[in-house]
Amino acid sequence: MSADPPDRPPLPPRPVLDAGGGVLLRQHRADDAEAVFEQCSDPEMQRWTTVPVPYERHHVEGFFAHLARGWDDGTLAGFAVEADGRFAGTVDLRLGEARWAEVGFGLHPRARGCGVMTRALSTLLDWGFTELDLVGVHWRAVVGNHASRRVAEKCGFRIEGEVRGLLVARGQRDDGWVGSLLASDPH
Amino acid sequence: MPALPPAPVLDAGGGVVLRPVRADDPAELAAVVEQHRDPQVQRFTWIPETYELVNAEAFLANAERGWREGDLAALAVDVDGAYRGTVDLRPEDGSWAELGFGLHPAARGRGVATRAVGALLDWGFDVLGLAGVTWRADVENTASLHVAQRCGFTVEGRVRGLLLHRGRRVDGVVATLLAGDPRKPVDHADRPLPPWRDER
Repeated sequence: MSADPPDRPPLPPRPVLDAGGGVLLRQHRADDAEAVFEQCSDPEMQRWTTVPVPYERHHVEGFFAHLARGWDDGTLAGFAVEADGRFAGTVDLRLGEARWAEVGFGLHPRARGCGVMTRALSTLLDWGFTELDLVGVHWRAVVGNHASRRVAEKCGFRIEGEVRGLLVARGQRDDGWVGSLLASDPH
Repeated sequence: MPALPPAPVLDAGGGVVLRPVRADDPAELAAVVEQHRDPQVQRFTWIPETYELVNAEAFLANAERGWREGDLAALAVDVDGAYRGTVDLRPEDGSWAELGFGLHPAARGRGVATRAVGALLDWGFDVLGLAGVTWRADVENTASLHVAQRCGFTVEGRVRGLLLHRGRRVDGVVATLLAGDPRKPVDHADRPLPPWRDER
């Protein structure tokens, strides 16, 4: 029924973004694989995100291929988060229609609790609003994922709903929080 | 996503019956055109701005296709023997569905949509075994909101950029109804529901 053309321009060449405090956003590298595997095997990641359970080593290759494909077709701008020279997690923008996107992020257990993701996400949002000319960004998380919510709130997201059955993970529905951040909001 | 059963005929009471659409009935096609040329429908629904017979044919053909392919359970809302709109459930993963409905202007303001949606929800929970249903609409579409509330939906979010409308994102309201929820208006004491047009 769509009468409108898709409004999703190609992504620019991958930048390296300095988030300050020793935090860097860059392309994933083959030697991140072990740390990605550790992160995605972590119970917190399995509880709150859609990563495969059990997480196996071949899932890392699939994830890297997904990131490469997403950048090429303009649907996913995913970055490795590096803190003090070590892989610390992933942060991404899933690009939708009408210059909106949804954020996704997850940290390796060793990098949690010291503001790394707030720096990383905030930097990615600046880049998305400035370089991709995004109008707005959504954030969604399973109800109870307070770590994710704290990061979203620190980055300026307005929490706008707590919706039953909002999210699907591995065939199961979970209640979800949803929020948004507009380019015109303070952040 | 499991296959859908055959499209049923459901008595919604008060002269309102849900039945399969009639894609080759000239009167039904003409009524679909009238419905979708209405300014209210144009404003809140993502449909062609110049709505012609060919669009109505595609609309009803899609309703028939949905039953075959299992991604759309749409029925005509029949009032006293005439087509007056459609109601639909779009099944999603995890035994949930999203609700949609639209009425011909001649049938608005007297509880037809509430009866029709109520009957389709009963069928969805009982026959499809749905666990929950989601409703979403433009924040300014209060007519749709009131139908959802009368059917028992709980409003759970008001989200900027929730909906895509003609290539732009617009703010939306989201509400849900679970299989076990009471099927009567949720008490929103601060925002009482207005009376039907013919009760005023």
